Amino acid sequence: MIEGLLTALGPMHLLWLFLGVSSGILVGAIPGLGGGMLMALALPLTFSMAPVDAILLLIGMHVGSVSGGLISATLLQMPGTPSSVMTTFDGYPVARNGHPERALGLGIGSSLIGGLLAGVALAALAPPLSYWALKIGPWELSALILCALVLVAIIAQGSMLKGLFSATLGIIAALPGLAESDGQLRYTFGSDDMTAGFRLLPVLLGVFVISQLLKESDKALGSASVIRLGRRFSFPGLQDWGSHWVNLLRSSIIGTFVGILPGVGASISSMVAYGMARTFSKTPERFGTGHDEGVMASEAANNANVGGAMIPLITLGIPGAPVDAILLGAMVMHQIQPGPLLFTANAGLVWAMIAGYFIANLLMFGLMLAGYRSLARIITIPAHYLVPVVFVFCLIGAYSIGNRLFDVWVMIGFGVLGYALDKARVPLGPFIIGFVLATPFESELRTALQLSDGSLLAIVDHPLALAFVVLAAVMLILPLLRSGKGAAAPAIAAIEKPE
Amino acid sequence: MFDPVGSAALPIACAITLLLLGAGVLVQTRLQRHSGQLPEVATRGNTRLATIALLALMIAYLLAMHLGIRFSLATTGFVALAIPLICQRLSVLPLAIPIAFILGFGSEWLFTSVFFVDLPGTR
Repeated sequence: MIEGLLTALGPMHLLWLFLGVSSGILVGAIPGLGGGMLMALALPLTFSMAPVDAILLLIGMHVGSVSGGLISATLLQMPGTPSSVMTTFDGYPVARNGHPERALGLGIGSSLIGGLLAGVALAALAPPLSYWALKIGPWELSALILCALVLVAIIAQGSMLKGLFSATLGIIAALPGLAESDGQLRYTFGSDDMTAGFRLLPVLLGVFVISQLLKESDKALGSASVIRLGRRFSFPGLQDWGSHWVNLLRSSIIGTFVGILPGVGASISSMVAYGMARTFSKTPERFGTGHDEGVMASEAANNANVGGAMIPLITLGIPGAPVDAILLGAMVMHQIQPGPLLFTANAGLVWAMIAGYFIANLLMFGLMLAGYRSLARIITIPAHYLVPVVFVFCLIGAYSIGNRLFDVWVMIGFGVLGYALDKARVPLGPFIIGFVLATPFESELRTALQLSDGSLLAIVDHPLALAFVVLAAVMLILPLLRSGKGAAAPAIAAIEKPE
Repeated sequence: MFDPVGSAALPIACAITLLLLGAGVLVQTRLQRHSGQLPEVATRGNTRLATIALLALMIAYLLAMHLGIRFSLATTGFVALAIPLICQRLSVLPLAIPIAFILGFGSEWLFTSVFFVDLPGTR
């Protein structure tokens, strides 16, 4: 560990980490551009670099982009990255209520805490967890995804039917294309472009960014809903952090744990943490109206997810999320084979990566505090300038994933759908949750049922899977019981509230 | 049986669920309206003509690139028209045109020459 720390602290390594974190924050803060795109664009640039430098640059970008998303989520109500979607629900209302600095401070501080706690988990638990993660099977994964789908109902409480409607629509949007389980084509209508179905990035950009751009142009002439910052920055005090330590710890653990599981990215971890924070909160009715707990849960979890996702990446060679697949690709391109042998064959590099992750979080904290005003200025451009520019970046992002205009059409199509759903007061968050989870849920459930000859009762042989199902049931019932006492209120409604 | 669920199971389940939920939402809305919890017409403001025009402009922008117009030219045209359209003031045009040029030609140069990313009409 010390050797790795010394390696990561080398001046050149620090420089690459600094460049990675700062570019990640900048790109993460701009709606429509994400860490995945930045890392993919940077990948060819790393060919001539030393492996450690390249990996540290990409880790810095990953950490920076996940954190940078909170700035536009808080000040613009546009999540800079998918992982900061939940931050919009409470970060934006806190900022709109006259405390933008506080909202940013809570987000930045929670990101650091979540990131560092995940780093501790990464350093301490990587070897034993790699052994445990090998035992995660299709029953456990499908049960976990079911748990996340139940959360759709929880976060859409108050308009549960519309939330479920939105989630089902999201699942349906994920159905076209090649079915993972049996390789059959569904709903492609003979189009080659539809073979891969609707890709995640165009759908995300459409539902969350394009619909927001259309909404922006719907408002009064030249208005921009960017929240202006005050003159003084008041970072939340120790009392603020102390009174929410349980929420921070729980959200960081959730973020780390969800990150470890393959295919479940930072956006899901922040959704799960947000839902849990609301479920266990003494004031659940304040969620969605500008509650500190909501901002903390979302930001601690999404940053912790980055560290958590590095555990299976390093120890098993399994990417925790699509972005981690880019990191995995970079490692392979630099002749580093991730997996259980990496610890013994290249321990110095592994510990340098872990130390680099810690340093990236510290750099993120410093850079975000030092540069949040400049970043806010970048996004405090009047709407009539911002809308076309963001659209062009979205177009580049959607086009560059497959070099085809079809993805841009998909983006616009889902943008119009998101705009229409928003007009009908249907929450957009569950749509994305359904879209993201549909494929892995179907695939894992079908595999599990194949293994048990179609018997659902086989779940009793899988205690962890059973625990997830019980947890899902508890999460579904608990808010219903609370609603009887008048505690529940729409959390997700924050994103659909008129200005 | 090798695959007891099959490819059609989830789409069918989703279709039934969507129908039931849609019916539920309709009933809920009617009940809320009946009990006075919702106004007779619960809309969130009319869609501005500018929004429809912007959507049409986005589609025209994409069609232009489908027809083979370079990204830089199409983007310059789109941005130069979109800014005054959203703002509904021609006075922003002197600033909109340089922004459009910088974004159109600048981003094409940056992405194709620095990041080596293909853009529509640049291959």
